[in-house]
Amino acid sequence: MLRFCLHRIVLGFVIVILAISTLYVLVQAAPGDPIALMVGPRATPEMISALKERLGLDQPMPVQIFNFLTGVAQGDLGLDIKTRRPVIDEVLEQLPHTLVLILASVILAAGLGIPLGCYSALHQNSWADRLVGILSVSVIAVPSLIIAIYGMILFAVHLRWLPAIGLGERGNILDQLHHLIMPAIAVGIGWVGYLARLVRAAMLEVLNEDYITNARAFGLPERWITFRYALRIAVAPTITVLGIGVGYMLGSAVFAEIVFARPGIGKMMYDAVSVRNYPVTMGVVLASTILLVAATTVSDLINALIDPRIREAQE
Amino acid sequence: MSRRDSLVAAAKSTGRSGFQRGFQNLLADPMGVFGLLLVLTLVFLAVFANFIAPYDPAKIDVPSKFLAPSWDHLLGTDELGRDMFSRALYGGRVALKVALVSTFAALAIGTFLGFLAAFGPKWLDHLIVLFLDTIRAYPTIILALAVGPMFGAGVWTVIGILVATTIPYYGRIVRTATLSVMQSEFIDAERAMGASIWRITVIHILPNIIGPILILASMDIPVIITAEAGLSFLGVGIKPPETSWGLMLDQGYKFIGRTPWMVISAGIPLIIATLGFTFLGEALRDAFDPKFKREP
Repeated sequence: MLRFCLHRIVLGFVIVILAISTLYVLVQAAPGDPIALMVGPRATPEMISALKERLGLDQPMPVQIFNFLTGVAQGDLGLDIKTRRPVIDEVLEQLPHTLVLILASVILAAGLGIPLGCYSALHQNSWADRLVGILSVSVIAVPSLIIAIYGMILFAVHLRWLPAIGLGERGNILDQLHHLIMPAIAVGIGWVGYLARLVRAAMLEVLNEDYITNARAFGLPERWITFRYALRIAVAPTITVLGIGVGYMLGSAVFAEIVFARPGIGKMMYDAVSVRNYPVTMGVVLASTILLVAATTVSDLINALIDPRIREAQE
Repeated sequence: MSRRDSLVAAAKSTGRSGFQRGFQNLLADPMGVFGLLLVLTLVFLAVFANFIAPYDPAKIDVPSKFLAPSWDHLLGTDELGRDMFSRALYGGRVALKVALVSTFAALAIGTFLGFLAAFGPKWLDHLIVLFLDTIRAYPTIILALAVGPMFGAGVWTVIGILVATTIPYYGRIVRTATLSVMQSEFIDAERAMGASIWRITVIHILPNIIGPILILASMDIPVIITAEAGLSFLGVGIKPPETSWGLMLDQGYKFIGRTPWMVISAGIPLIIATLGFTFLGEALRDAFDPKFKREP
């Protein structure tokens, strides 16, 4: 188990380092020169080379990558071109808002999706099962951007049940939760469907296993078998999926944050892209890549804890 | 059951004779037929957009701006008086083009890398898997927002980003499926008879895994369509004068307080497309994948 954990964590670090280096090379190689944009159209070649020297861009690529990585490791993501503040501070300021949104979506997805999937599996082929099936596929299909916009029109503009924009009043938890409902639904509703289907399929498979039949033969109560044995195994894949899902949710969060004018790294990214504030966009990509790799790693580790077959397969 | 297991099962069982049976299964599934009809309609409308569109999608007619949907303008008009229905038809062309080109390019490159990893020496396998995992570490939309503007917004940038971020999806699946088919006895027999690696790949492995992988590709099409619309909405995708469903949503969103139906209209084609392709993809998988087949 320890070996598995170490292997997974080291692999996570390697992937983060590779991803950051690749991104750095990609940005330097891109046709739109960030330096030319930073200094503006009237800069002389001398000014450009002076800035390049100051930023260390005249050194060989491996040295640049190494310098950049050490900078990132020390939390140095450069300065925001507009505000002149360290990018890391701004990212850390905005990140919690996005994390809260993603967490709320995960809670929604797991809280609704797992029971629905479980119910569907236990009542296989009933009309409720079929309905859950069709609704699940539908919510998986419809883009979160559409759900955000339609939700806003229906619940904020038309019915006026929910607030349209913003985070809510600072310090007022209830108001903030109220503002969280629609963005969280936009980001999470597709995952409700996804998890419902996943749990249903996994439950059906587990319930056919020999050891479940065995447990029934021993006369264990059905409730005990369902929740203690079957669900425990059936939930394992949802954790992996949620780990990978964080990446997709980060994407959906960008749309939810823009549509609902909600602070967060997605909104920050969007605002930075439109004014070509490259240090900020790089900072957000780095932060979200690290977040994504961390989420996948953690979900793998939790999975290995729950299901011994997984760690045996890896070792 | 994981997608990998189901794929492996499908890889082992889809044969040529299974094709007809699978197609019959598909036609017996009401949701599958529903998806198929939506997709066929969409493809028809996009291909024949220039015959079907009642107006020139770029024709500005300011006096009739912000018109509500009516028989004259099925989806209404935008802030410049352009017919939203006609624009949606041409937007469908862009969406389908991006979806098909990106899916096939990613499928081809991913399949190649997957084969290479499965057949190559151990170090190459590790290297390719690490490479695929590294690409997978980037959140697509955020990466696209960062990289897109550097390469200039436009159809080919969108396709490039979507291909790059989808390659790992196919690469990993092809690798796993190939490795599992390689363990079959008939491959051992072929090898014992001295068959070349090319013969084994082209004659035996490819036909065994191509069906399930095409089905997975069909399930990825709505994701690609959504991503294109999303990137265009964010301003890093399709640029005017070309039309995109995402651009229409962006326009409509700007006037959401004034005329909400404009953004509602803009969302309809995207909903139809994603629903159609998703239902069809799911039904295709159910129809051809015996492990997912519905109980009698």
